[in-house]
Amino acid sequence: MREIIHSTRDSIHLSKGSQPYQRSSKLQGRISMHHIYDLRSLEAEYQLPSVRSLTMTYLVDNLYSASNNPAFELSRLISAPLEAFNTLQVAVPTFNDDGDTIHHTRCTGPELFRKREQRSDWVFVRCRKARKAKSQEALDGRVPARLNVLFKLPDLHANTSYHLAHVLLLSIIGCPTPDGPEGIVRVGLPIRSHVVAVADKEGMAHLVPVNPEELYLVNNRIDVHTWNDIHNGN
Amino acid sequence: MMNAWIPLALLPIPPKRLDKISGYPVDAQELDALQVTHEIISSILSPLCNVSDVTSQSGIEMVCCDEKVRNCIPMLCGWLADHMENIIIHGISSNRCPICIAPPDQFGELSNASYAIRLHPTYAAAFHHSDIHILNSHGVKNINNALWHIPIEPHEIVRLDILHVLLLGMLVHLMKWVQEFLDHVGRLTIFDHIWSRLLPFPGFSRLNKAYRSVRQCQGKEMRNLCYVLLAAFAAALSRTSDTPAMASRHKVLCHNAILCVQYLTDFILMAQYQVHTHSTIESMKDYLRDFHAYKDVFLRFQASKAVKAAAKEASRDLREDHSQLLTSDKPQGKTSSKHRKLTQELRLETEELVHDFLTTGANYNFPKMHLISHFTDQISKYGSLPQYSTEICKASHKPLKDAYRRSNHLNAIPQIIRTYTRVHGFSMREKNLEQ
Repeated sequence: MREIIHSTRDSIHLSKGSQPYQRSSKLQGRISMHHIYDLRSLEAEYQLPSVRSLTMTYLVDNLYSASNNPAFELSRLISAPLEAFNTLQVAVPTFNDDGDTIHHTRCTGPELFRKREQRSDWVFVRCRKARKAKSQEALDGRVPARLNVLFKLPDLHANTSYHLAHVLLLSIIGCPTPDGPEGIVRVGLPIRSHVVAVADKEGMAHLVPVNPEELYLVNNRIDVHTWNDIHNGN
Repeated sequence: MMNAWIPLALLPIPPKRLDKISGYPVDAQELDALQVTHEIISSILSPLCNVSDVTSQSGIEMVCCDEKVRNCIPMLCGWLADHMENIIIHGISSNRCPICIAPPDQFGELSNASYAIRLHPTYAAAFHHSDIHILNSHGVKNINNALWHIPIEPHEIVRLDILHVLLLGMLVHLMKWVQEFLDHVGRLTIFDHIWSRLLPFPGFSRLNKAYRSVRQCQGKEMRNLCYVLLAAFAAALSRTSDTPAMASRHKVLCHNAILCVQYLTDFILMAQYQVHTHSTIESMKDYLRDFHAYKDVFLRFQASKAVKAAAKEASRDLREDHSQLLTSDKPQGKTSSKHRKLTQELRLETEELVHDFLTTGANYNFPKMHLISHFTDQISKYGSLPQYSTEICKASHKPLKDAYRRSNHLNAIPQIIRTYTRVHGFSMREKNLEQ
């Protein structure tokens, strides 16, 4: 499509570089604490050996860099009991600003979703400034990622909790802006594992596999909202 | 919303297959049946004939839903119908446009200059003077049209229908072309594989089967399909891991086919916008122009069954000739590479012959291909089109069907009307009490 029709809600169509609209999100579907009670058990249950180290990296980068004794605080937090969830509810504003569309993104791990299949949905993750310029440029600063684990890490001393997710971030293949006869961005290998804040997720992504597990097309025509978000500024 | 729709009448439907009666040809029977339908419509709309003259400002006093009496001037502003219903209402041939006088053999092309709109006063005069020539030249049936007696311009009540023209019309055609194209380039199985494994998304229902294994798609399924068609089609043509490499002559075709699908799906998606600006309308015009520029890539799939059969026979004959040529070619002592080259040349020749056969007899001259050219004008005049979609009318049929179900099925019409009126009256009363 050549033109973007602007929604009545100004904040979701900000120019490049400005802050994105803050979507409210909510963790749902708590997994029984008999199975998962800390990061080690989470790693074992979901067969993701990197969760613990990536969580530490995330905490160091984002929270404890200014602390007096970061090593002590980290070890305390890493060994703390946690809660795991299988659903993230993200409220995405509707195009005509008459409410929100709720995106239920699932990551069921080894369990089946409604006794049918394992779910590990694709989501859009907002890229921070530290990432490479190509990711910033493509898809209006968002990268599709597979949602593996959702968990809540409580910090009893600070009387707060961190809502985190383990994701597999895909890379942009070829041109970072919609390209080719079909005008679609391609994503695929290499995949990078990350632990990110739940607040960085911006709803579901719809990917169509070209070569499964290697190359995907980001379906930008799945709804008007995705279309506008992807083409904003491109 | 549903209570804003009030049924005025249950129209009788003439039988689809008429009995052959000696001295009373089928054409005359059809014309008489159409005349009866128009008499009924005329009877229903007769209250509008006297009061809907805006210039006289006469009007009639009506009790509104807030129980206040107001002077109202009821007008016929639009008639939501699919193409065949429009044909009946406007009294024209089925291969004609109810809005303009575009000739049927030009429906497949996008005209730079728009065709003249239908002038029903001229047709009314021609009918009264029995001037069959004018009526026939514009595809108008020789009947006394009910719309001629109401102070409106009949072409202005036409509202193009997203459901029947786009979703169940053009999109169904596009899917047929896409399926045949994928079969032609050997990617249909991959497309089916991708199609049946698409992931769910809010507002998009998952498709569990391959498209070709679905017997009938309804409006909701077709709307769903529009969201994913381009990506699935592009993915099927791009896939390389488990498929043989595509022939170079097919690559150009694939490029054009993707562009054609892109322009039409974008047009359909944009036509469903609830809000439009000048730029979106201009974009729609551009998409339509570009779709027409690239649509010839699917032309061979528009060939009729007879043309396809003829092409098949011609290719079979040519292949027999080629096989004789190849068997006679071997004893001449040619090398295997030369023989392979000759085989390839002959295969290409056969393909070209089939292509020529199929494209010569094919065209895009069907009404819906022409009707989409009126979409942008309609949006400019009357606003976004989803509000005029017949989906709303179809949903309004449900209470009537329920009323039929509740009747004893003997002389059901009065019972349907009574039940429906009671249910509707109660629901309106409830709404007023809520306020």
